[in-house]
Amino acid sequence: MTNDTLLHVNNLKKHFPIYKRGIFTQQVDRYVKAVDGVSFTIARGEVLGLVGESGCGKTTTGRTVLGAEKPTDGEVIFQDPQLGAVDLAQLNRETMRKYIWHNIQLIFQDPYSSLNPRMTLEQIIAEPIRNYKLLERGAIRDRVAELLRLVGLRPEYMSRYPHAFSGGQRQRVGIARALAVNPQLLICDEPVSALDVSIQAQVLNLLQDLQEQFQLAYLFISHDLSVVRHLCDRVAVMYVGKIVEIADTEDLFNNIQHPYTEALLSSAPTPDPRARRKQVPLIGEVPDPSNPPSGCYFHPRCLYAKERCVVETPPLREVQPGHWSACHFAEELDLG
Amino acid sequence: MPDILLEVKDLHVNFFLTEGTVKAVNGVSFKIERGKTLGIVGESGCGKSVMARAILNMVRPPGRIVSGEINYYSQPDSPPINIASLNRNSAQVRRIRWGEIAMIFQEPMTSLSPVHTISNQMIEPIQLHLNLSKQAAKNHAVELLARVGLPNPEQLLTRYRHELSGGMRQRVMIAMALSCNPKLLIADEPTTAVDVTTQAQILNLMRGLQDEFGMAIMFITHALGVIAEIADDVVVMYLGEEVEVADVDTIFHDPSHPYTQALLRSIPRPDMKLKRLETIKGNVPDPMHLPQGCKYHPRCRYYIPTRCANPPFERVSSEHRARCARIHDIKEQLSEPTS
Ligand SMILES: Nc1ncnc2c1ncn2[C@@H]1O[C@H](COP(=O)(O)OP(=O)(O)O)[C@@H](O)[C@H]1O
Ligand SMILES: Nc1ncnc2c1ncn2[C@@H]1O[C@H](COP(=O)(O)OP(=O)(O)O)[C@@H](O)[C@H]1O
Ligand code: SF4
Ligand SMILES: [Mg+2]
Ligand SMILES: [Mg+2]
Repeated sequence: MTNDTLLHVNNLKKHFPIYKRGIFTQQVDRYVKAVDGVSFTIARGEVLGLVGESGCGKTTTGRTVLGAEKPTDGEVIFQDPQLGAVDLAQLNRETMRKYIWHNIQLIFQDPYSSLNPRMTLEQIIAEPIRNYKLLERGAIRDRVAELLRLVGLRPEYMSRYPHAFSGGQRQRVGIARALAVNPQLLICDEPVSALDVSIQAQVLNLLQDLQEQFQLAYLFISHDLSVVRHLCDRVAVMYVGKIVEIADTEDLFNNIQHPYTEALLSSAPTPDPRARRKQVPLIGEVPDPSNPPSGCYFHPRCLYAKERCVVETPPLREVQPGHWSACHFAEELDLG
Repeated sequence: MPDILLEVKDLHVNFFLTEGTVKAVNGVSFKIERGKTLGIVGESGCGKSVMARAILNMVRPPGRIVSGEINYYSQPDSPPINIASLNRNSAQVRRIRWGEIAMIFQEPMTSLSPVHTISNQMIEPIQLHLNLSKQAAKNHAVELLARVGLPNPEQLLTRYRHELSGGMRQRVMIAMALSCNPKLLIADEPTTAVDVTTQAQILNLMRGLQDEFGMAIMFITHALGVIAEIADDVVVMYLGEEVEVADVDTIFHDPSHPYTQALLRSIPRPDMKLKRLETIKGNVPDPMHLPQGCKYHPRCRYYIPTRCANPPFERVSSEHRARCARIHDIKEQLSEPTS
């Protein structure tokens, strides 16, 4: 862990039990291994993208890092400005609430359901400031006005309720609330996926400006590869609870080292009819994480699978400086 | 002469609500060629779904087709049937709806019944519309399910919708839509709720089916990338109006309307490394209170009050039109790179 590291996630696991219903007892039947041994770091001011098909465990990773889900195993070491390095996996919710959550904030996909409809914008944005007693009573209003301006909304709006705003405006409110406590790390879970094309760009630019202005670090979860490529410094690709590839963004897109990444990138449509190509779409679907395949979880869908892939689980290893892949044959394959 | 299958002429669809009238489709005209794919693109609320329903004469009160024509040419030399002029519940419309023009929706959850097996939902309509025996209808259903790439179709017929993944449901919907060999398939955001990988599978499937069956496709989406992948011709919509119509290459490489241009610059593109995205200011206005004059003017960077009061649907070239008063003078400004 270097000085610059803000978050170091090490072998993180989150397994949800599925119960077999008996008459008197509940017995665990099996586990949904939603997150199954994930490791990554995020440096101060760095934007790490997390991509993968739905059901791969992106949301659960974000929630477990934050402590909204108790990790089954692993470490989440956060470099807290006051407390120094702390393993969040060891803390209970009460301690997290008290000491950690103002440093790590979450922005949700759905700007409609994440704001309390009975609270004004002022109440919504002031709530975390009050909870953490960050400001004197009299100073809160000014701070709310400042935050609204920061995210491109008029301070006069503060007495209005969320229903009076469009999706893009509500997402700005969510961002203002997250920023109210001066966090170091924002976990953005599909923050623009529910927005119209012309509004997405406004919110992405805002996130980019705020990141530069406050040296924020983001864990940016998205299924939109072009958005991730535009915004992120590094990208991690997730498949069935595991990270299969992680690298600097341009390196990931231009020098693919895992067949799943290749398949994912070739599936993404290109906004240029002249670049139309015969795609080789990924066959089949994401396996059930409570009953994953043997060996490499990707082998049933992989174009390059060999005997070894069926029996031996490939570890995530550094195949080139700073470029990690969990494929047995990363060095031999020439991936597009 | 292009072989026209469907011609929509100055179509207007309104919703008459107590709070006021929503002009959901406000004078749209376009043509679909036999066997080709027309892409309809626009942000949410611009009238794409209402228009799709109007083509099948399926708009229900308080909504109504108030004017315009929907001319359907069943055969190349047959006289057109104006679907807009027919009674919504007439036998003729129902025959077209099932047998000639089929539709698939974004969310198969709402169009597949939760309480019936796939078999119940597929076999009876096939029996009825194709006049087949139960066994023959079942064979046809199995064939179709296999054709859309679903494994074990026999067994699948006994399943319920909640037992299927999103991608499988969408395939079932496509199989059902194809059961009478339609001449036009209207697909309303068929890939919006699925992953990019499943989307690529479905787009491939639709292309393959088009090659095989020769049907035309009207593909509705808000995703520009998908349009670039699948469309031959494109209609760009904004607030119930078409703002630009052209072939797909022109739309992406030589667009004339400021809205189309701005949309294309607001999405991240690997082929142009932009430090910042361009944005379109403001929001899509409330459809109950449409802007006067050019509907796009409050967000447009080229707006001049004296010029933009009533923009014509101007011809740029023979098959390229744009609803903008300034297409000729902004063309020059455009060739210079923007900040
Ligand atoms: N609370 C939960 N209980 C049981 N299973 C869960 C729970 N939350 C998520 N899962 C399962 O974990 C897997 C990963 O889900 P999620 O993290 O939401 O993936 P993503 O965000 O990549 O779509 C899925 O199979 C999902 O059904
Ligand atoms: N049943 C309805 N009653 C009232 N307004 C409707 C109804 N259906 C659609 N609209 C309105 O018509 C407009 C176009 O809607 P729609 O065609 O669904 O847009 P799109 O499919 O492009 O997102 C919207 O302003 C919508 O609110
Ligand atoms: S008519 Fe005027 S306001 Fe409308 S798009 Fe053209 S330039 Fe912009
Ligand atoms: Mg998720
Ligand atoms: Mg729609």
